[in-house]
Amino acid sequence: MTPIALSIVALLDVGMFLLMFFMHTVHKTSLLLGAYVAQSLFVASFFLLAALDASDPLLWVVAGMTVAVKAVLVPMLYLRVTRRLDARFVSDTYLDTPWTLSVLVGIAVLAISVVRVSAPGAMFMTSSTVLGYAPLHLAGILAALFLAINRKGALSQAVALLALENWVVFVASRAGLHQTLALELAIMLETLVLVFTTTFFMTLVHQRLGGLDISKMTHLSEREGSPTHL
Amino acid sequence: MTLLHTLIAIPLVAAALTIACTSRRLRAVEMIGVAGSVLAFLFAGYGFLHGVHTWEHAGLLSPDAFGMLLTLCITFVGSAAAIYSVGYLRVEREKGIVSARRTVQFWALFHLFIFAMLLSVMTRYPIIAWVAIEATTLATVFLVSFYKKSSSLEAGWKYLVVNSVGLLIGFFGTLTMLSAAGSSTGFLSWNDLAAAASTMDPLALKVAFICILVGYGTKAGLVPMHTWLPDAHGKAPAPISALLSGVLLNAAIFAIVRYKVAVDAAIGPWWTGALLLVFGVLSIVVMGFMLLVQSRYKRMLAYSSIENMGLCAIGFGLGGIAVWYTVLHMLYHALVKSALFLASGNLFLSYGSGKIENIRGMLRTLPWTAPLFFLGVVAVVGMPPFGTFMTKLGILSSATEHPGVVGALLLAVTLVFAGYLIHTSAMLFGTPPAHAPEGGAIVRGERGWRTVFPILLLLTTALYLGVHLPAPLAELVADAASTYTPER
Repeated sequence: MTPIALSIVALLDVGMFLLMFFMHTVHKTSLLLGAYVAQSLFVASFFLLAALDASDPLLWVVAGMTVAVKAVLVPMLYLRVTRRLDARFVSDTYLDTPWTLSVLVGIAVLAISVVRVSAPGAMFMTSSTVLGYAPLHLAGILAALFLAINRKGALSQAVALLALENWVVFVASRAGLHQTLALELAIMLETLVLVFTTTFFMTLVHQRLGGLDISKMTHLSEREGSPTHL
Repeated sequence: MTLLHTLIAIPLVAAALTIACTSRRLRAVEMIGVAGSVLAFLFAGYGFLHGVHTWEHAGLLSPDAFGMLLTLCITFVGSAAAIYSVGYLRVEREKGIVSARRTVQFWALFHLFIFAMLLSVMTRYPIIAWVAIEATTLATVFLVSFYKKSSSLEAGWKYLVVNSVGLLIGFFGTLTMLSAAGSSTGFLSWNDLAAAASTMDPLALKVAFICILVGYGTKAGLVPMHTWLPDAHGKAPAPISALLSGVLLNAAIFAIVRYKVAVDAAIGPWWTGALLLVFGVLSIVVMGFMLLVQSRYKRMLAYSSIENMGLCAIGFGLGGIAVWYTVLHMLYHALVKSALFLASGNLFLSYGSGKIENIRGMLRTLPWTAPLFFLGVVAVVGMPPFGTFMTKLGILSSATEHPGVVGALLLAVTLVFAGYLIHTSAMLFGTPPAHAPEGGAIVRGERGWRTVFPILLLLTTALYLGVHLPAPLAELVADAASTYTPER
């Protein structure tokens, strides 16, 4: 990649990580979805840069598909559900914001420490490798994982899953695994099925619980007293 | 069209035909369900007898000996579950628990589930295996929440989220390993991956394998990633629980072992072996205690499945002859655990309760299911004449170099034996209650041959294979074991 492209990629790395912080702090569904769209656009931007660098027309298609599915179709589907179920503020967290931010800082420190101990070489940035960003990538994946754990809302948990998927694809691509059309098609199909499945589930959960707060799912833990099937 | 393509197309065609039939032609849907499953088994059996795994490499599909063995397991257990499902769902429709429309949905998802499992064990590409395993989650999540009760919805959501997170971690591990192998496209076969192992960065391999173990270990229900399993297996309809516990867990373990080969080739077997031993020992000990305190019989069986997957992890971790015993144990467990879950469906149909305390006098109420359930318990705890006795003993005797593992195994075997004995003896004997806990009378007698024959078939097969392993099958097991036994 050219030095300018590398600089842009570095900005994408940092931007992706900052978006995770943002996703952890927002409590409005539309803002959370907006952050996911931005994250997906970052991933697509990386594919575009890779397409320009490799002069591979298929990578343009991959980037286009990423935008079409992750930045347009998925948010549209979720926004429709949000409006239908009147769930505009379903992004409550188990930990409050100061504690959430503290955990995120802890995750960042942990990622740096792990990389420093297990792969000291990966701490140093060179112009030709992505090793210098290894702690950032690890922290990003862990932060996405934490987002899925910390959220009480079914919708925000689903968005957290998709954010984690974005991180996995982004980090793998940064590590040199180019997204082929077939692989990307498979991932997109999985993403769409996951979105449809979660959307359908959210409707059912809303019907049963009168909301999307999964912390109210207590029938499994109260199994002794509840006359449930099986 | 090749044999392997035909085999994998059968469940897909069956799913399409099922959807086309709609709820107005339920008989046709049931016929497609059974015929599709049995036909898939016949094709798998024909392929196995003609050694298809040794000569046919059809595009995405190229199963090795272990893949072929699991293909046989999936299609055989699938056939038994399909026959059982006809009888089970008919009774549930009579009771008004499920509608005709839901029955069609059940069958369509059933076929898709079988298709995804077959693809995961038959594919030559790790990335397709990941897609297929993820597809099993998406196909079965609606089956786990089939009854749409609050508790089954919760179980379904938990299953979806925990498995999706786990499999995304597994996906990261897969991509990391493919990158380390120098693949720029993501499409590298299992064989190429193993061949490229010696050139891979050991650190990248270690990171990748940990992610893969956590990811696919979640699907296999290894402790501490098991939290979804007892709920999902407990809430799903009985034939689906049979497939989830009997064959899907095997498919997940198989995926881990395939990656293990590549990592072992690069850094030696001790590292992956130690990791598998840790997860395995944790699984069997924790589940041994959990099994003792269970109050629901399906959850008891689910915990037992985790314990058995822990045993498999230990077997693969130990290496050597233990791998042969483990491969065989996976076969026996698939047959026995499926039979037990199907029998648990009969208990529910008769007693209308999932709680152990409400099941009394099974021998009087269910004259066929009760002894079969008892036989299944005998088999699953590892008593002769069932093959599980030999496999458990074999794994135990292979662990003599690791006193801690032997101790954990002995503790787990004792706990599991005690747990099953306490619960099963309470269920088998005594006087049946007059009424079901949620109203209605206890139904005495079996609900037709379809709800008994599959259990009998599975247990008879397990018993037969425990006493005598036919030569072609013994050869297949030996081939499978030798491929996945690391060289020390």
